[in-house]
Amino acid sequence: MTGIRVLISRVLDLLFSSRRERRLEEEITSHLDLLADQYMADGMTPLQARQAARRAFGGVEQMKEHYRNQRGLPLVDALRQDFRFAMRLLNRNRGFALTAVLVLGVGIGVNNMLFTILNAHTLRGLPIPSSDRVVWLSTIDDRGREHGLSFNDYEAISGAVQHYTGIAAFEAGPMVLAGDGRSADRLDGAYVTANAFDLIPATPLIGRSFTAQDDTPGAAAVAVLGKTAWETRYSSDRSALGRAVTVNGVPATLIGVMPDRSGFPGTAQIWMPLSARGRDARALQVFGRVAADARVDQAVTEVAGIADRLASERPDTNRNARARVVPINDRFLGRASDGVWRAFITVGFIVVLISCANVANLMLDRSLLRARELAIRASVGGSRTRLLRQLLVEGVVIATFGAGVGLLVAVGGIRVFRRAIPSDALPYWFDYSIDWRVLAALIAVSAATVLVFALVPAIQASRTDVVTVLKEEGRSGGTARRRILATTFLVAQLALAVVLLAHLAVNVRLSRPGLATDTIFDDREIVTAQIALPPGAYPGHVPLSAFYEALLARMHAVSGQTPAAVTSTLPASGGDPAEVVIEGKRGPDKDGEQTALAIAITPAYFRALDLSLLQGRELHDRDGNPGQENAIVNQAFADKFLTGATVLGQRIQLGTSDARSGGTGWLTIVGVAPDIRQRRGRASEPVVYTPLRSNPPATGALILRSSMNTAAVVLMLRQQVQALDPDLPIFRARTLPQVRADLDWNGRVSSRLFLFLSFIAVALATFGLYAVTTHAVSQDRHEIGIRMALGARTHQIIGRVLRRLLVQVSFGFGAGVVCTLLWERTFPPGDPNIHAGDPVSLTLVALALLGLIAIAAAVPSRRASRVDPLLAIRAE
Amino acid sequence: MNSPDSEVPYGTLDLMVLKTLAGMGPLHGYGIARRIEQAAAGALALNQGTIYPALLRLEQKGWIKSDWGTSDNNRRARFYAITAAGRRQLTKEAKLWERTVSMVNRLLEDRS
Repeated sequence: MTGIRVLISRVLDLLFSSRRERRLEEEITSHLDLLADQYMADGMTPLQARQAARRAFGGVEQMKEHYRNQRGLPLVDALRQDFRFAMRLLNRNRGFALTAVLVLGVGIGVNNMLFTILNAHTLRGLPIPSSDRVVWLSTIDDRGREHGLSFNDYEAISGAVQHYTGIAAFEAGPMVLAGDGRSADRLDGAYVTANAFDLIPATPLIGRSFTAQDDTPGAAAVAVLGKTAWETRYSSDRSALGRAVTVNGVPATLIGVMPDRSGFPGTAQIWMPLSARGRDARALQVFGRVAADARVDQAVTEVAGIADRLASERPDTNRNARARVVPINDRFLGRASDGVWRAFITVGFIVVLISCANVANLMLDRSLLRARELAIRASVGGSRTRLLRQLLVEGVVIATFGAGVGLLVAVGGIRVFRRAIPSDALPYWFDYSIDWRVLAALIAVSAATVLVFALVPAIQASRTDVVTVLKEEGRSGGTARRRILATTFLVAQLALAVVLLAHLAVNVRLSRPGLATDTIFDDREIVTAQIALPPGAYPGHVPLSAFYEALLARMHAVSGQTPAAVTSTLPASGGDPAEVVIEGKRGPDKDGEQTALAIAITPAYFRALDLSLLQGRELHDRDGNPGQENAIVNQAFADKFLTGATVLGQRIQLGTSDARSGGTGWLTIVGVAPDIRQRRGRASEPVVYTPLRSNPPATGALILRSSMNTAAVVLMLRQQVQALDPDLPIFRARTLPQVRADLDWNGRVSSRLFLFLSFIAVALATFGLYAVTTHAVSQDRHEIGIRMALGARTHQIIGRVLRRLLVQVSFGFGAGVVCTLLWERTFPPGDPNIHAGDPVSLTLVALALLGLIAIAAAVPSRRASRVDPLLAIRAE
Repeated sequence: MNSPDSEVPYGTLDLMVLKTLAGMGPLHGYGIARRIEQAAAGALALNQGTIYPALLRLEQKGWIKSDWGTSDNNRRARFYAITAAGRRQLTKEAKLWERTVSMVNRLLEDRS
């Protein structure tokens, strides 16, 4: 008790120290006056009395010091003094302070930016209350692919578990909302069990969510809307509740509005009870909330056991499937221990270490200039720990400002990063805002930088030999040792920069134009849009194909001369991998599957893209009819599977590896198309283009080439589609380059991020090289002066500077190569042919480093060559 | 400054200040110092200034409190008064002191 009381009063003293000081002063005065009064009463003269009073009182200043030690917290007081002193010092050396703060700030900022991204993707967790107590259920087949659960399995599991508050299931998919006199909207939707919202828990803004009654077969169909959909479609009108609509053609009543982001997780804006979907669902997404009195690991074991028992009881439907039960955060977020994130963290620390090494060298330089000051302080009794503390406090001040700059850099960097990603490309649960974790990381990293950049130079400086420094006018005190330290810091940062540069070289080499085959045609005027034909209204091949044919005829009427087309899969948008059988050849090799992407197209697809075939012809209107089962393959297909043979007239068979669709009969190849890149980051893949008519997709992409304004074209497309079916919305209307950009953002963002990081690292390393060289030149002025006086030529002087630089950079490069190889051992490269540790990448890095030398050496070597021998020698 | 035998034994100054305030009521620093000197009857050469750190220490512990007031001869001075906690502490320390003294005395007697 008393201890706390003393502490509080000492802290108060600290806060009101000037008031306390005044009080002490007054008390002493009053005491001395009282004493003097007494002595005068005893018969002394006023002067004698005052002197006697002082004697009786004792040493006033000593007492004050004693009193001050009793008051406040001496350590804090001393730190405050150090802090004030550091601020004064930094203010005097603004150039140094600004450089150090900026260099450090960039390092800390980049590190924090990377941490913010890491945090959003791995650590934060889903925006679900106590998301760590929600688990996700699925099955894994023998090929390691993840599948949902069937309705029967879901029912069996949710009926048997005991450690759960409940288990919910949903099936997400597009839903078309129409039937209330407004134009149809295609929304992300989900069929959910009645308990799904309660388990999250999510409560409706208005109206109600589903009850068990709603989720029974035969119940009146109801639907819940998301807030955004409610706002856009009904202008947040409360009378939307109770409205009769159709969802996917089924009449239903709107009963409630859920806040946005009420998914499990998901982007759904409309929900219906699972019973409306029927009991035949085979790919349900299932999650459960662990009961409050159960442990998560218990619950996981329990449900996995039940799922495995089901698998053995119903071997026909559950064959080869193993249950997979994971915390929901692991299912939807990355883990910080994943390779890519470890690489991310490492890069973050590389950048911060480079900037630390830089600042450390600045501090070393300065401690050299301050050697005299430190020596004097040491000689008048400053203890070594006191000097050390002073230097560390300076470090802390720099790091604090650096952290501030870093926060700005991180916030700005994240803003740019966010802008580079299309808004709908990332799941909404990646939250890049600053939370306590980000701030804690910022503080921790900034504190750690102090240890790296300030401690070593401080120890070095506090070790100063007083006598030597004072005698030699502070010129050569510990120079050799300092130089070794400075070179070590420099080599270290060069080595780290080499690692990033080597990866940058890989990045540049991989994005060489020759490797990217995605812009072989001029696609700027190609507008695309998608339609999804609901199975209720278009059951089976015949109505689907009839719709596409009618639509194509209307599109041709609009586009005039240039042809329009429909395809199952747009360029750059992937495709369904299908197993390929070639007539007269053996089946797939044992080691590798023989697969190609299957893409359904209408006639004149390639003409619509403004491409001409390499061999043969386009598909005709009749292709796909019985007796006309023809197909087109691309060049990569011909190269890979039909080497040396005549391609045209060969017959192939496609069996989609997905067992749902049965595959095709024999198709005759009638044309060879140029390679169009379908997937990012892959070389040309074999593609088979089949007539859309023989396998019309439920979701189709329309292609129209037009020089008109995109919005006008989209409007026209919408009119044509809705002339055929007023309840059919078009979506993802955009130009082909936009499609590509939206799909490619991942590669684009990551390569730009890497470019940015490498740029920062290289800029910092160049700066370090420059600073060290400049410093070395100024240290050597004397020697340079003597050499010049003895007749050395300018180029010899410059040669000396460059030679030293070259040696340092070589050491840095050597260390960097070792680091790069170590890096590749830890994070195996994606492409074994083009990687960071290969000779080409390293040669590129070496060339880049020579460029760095040129930049870093320009100013210092000029300065060296202009040393005036007379002045330099005299300055001693 | 002081000869060793006249120095205030460590820790006893606090006790003396508390006792003085308990017996005499609120006093200013000078008054306390004088009172202690009188009680010591010349056996103790007190540097009067040293009582101020002691007063601060006691105030921090909450055993005494202080306020500005006016002395008998109309000088502004800070008056110190013992608190309830201070009285309790005084009893405790006085007992402890007695025990210590008697123990030391016994030791010394044994030796002689």
